[in-house]
Amino acid sequence: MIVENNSNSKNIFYPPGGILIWFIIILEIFTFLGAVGVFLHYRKLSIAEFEKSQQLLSSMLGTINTLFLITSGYLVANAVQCVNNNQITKAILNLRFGLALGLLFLIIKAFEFFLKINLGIGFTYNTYFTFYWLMTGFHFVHVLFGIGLLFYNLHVVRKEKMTVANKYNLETTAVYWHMCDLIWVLIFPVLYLL
Amino acid sequence: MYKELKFNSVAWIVMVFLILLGYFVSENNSYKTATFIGLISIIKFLIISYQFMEVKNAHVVWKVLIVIFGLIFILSLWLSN
Repeated sequence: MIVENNSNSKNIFYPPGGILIWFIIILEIFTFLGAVGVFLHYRKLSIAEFEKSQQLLSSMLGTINTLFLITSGYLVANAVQCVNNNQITKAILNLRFGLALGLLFLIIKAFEFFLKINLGIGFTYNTYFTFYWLMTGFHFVHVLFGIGLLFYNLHVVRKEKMTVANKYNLETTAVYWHMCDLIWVLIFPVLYLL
Repeated sequence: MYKELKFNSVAWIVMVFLILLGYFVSENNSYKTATFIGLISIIKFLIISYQFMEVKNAHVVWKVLIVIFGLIFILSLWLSN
């Protein structure tokens, strides 16, 4: 953690990445937890329809995608550690591979969306798929934004001197990226595995 | 620093195992329970937040908040079954 050398690391106002990003994270998790809660409520009311609709999803593709996203998160976490210890070459390598896996996640997700649309399974197909499109669609947008942040930080790490501010920005980006993992880890089992 | 990288690697290996476990449990209907799959998800949730997001180094309020989120999720799953 960037502020680990600072005695404030255990201060409530200095969570990893900064308090502002954590306000966003709390809001996002509450929102997605709310969506998951409502989904589970509707699932209980029409379990047969939900289980039949789930068969139209590929849990194997979802699992592979989860592996890509989690591995990406691991590499980004490593990149932050490397930057902390001025191992810039390793940090760039970790960021590049982390970015590549994040992009792969988006490509596979987009392919999955394309397959659904081709089969005529749209937003209003049934209740299950309304939730599917809402939850995975919003998550897709979050990951896309995260990719943009990672690209920017990769540029900074490659081209600029790693000042405290730049290191802090990278840590904040990494925390945002892990938030995408957190959300996916909640919605993936609910949509694909139950 | 190497200690943290080592912990990250261990966390990643555990995550991969849990992801694959979740997949195989869901494919095998006789073991499939919402609570079991939910528990696997919560462990993954905690590993990401405590290890990758470094919440383990943060103030106890943030640590407790993360655990509360996990409990809300598992409670929702349990109530829906």
